Amino acid sequence: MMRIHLFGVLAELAGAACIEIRPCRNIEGLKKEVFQHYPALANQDFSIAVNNILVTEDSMPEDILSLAFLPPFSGG
Amino acid sequence: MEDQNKYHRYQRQIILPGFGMEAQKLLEQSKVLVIGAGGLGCPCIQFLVGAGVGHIGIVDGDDVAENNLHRQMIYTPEDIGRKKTDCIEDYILKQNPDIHIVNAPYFLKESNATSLIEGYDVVIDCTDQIKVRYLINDTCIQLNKPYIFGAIYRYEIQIALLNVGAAHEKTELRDIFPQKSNPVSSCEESGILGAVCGIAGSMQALEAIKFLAKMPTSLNNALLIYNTLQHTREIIQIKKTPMKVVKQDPMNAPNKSNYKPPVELDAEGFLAKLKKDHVQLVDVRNEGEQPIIDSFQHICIPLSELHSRIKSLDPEKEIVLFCHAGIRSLEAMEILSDEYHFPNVSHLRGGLVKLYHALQQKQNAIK
Repeated sequence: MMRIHLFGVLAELAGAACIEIRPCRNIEGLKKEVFQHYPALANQDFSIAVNNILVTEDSMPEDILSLAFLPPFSGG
Repeated sequence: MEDQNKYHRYQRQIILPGFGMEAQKLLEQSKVLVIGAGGLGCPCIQFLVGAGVGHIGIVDGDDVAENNLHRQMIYTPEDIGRKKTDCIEDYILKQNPDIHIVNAPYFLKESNATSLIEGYDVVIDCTDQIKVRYLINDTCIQLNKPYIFGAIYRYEIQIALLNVGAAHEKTELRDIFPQKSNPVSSCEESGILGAVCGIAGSMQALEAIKFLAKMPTSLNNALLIYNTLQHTREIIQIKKTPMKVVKQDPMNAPNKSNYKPPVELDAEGFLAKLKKDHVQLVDVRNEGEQPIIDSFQHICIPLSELHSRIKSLDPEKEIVLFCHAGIRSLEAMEILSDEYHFPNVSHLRGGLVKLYHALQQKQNAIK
């Protein structure tokens, strides 16, 4: 299983700061799998970090040590 | 001798390994612009002033309100109703009179962003609206200024030092959050503890001081996410993205000739709209938020659903938006005007809170 750390409103919507899903090969598959189990996240804006690096293309490193979904914050 | 007296107040930081007199002199020669004098801006300014940053600009158009006092520790109850930047100027003059202050008692807008930012070495974003944050970011990119991002959601903090280093290393806010299609809530909507603001604003000041004093930091082109409940943190490296979403200038919108600037309504203006036919009144609060409105006809579209339910609005009709405090309705107005080019949009400034207050005052006047 892949473990994903959720932050901000994403953790609130999912009801957990950390969720586990089946392994996926790419970002598109990852999102699909997450949205299937946590549909409330589908309408949210967020960026994805793999191994503490933001990923911008539809690719994932083979060795995944950590995964995080980061929504924008704006309060101040 | 004169130098020794001058720097005596900074002695405890000058003796720090990695800091010293050289760093102190660098701070003295530095110019820092703090945009936003609220929950982030107050602690940030306090520590910049304390550290001896020689020139500080403060931009904020707001007045001090009672509900600022729990987290914006520069202000006292006597300051309620005064311009925040005036109160801060008084504070700095008392705390560290050697510092040169630029008091800008108005909000940052596209029309003034370049002139406000261009004279500074570092820009610290202490605002609370994502749209303004993108404007600061874009202006910093354009003017090649280091940009310190800081933001809060409830108990979590995000801090980043952006647009620094060699050209190929420089990143920006749009590299972290490339597009904004959903609204992002402010502290007014999601709630905030003063101590969390204190931590976040202090972190922004610390990043500015380290940058100006040429000290090392792990936040160069990286995003810190700090959870104040668990005291856990992640540092995420940001990668430069080749493709970016270009901000939409409403004046360049396809229907330029029909474009009318959106309007902010006061209580009187809003009540006048209630009497008009063919006006679509839209409550953009979330379902179940109190008070429930039954005194006039309206439709409910929570701000978070505005994009998905856009077809339920008729762009040919006048649209008047409202919410609890006027923040979400302002954002909804900007979305309808800037992104969908609805030609006739307005919102209730200050929201239902201001409306009820105005009605109450009217009733008291009649009595």
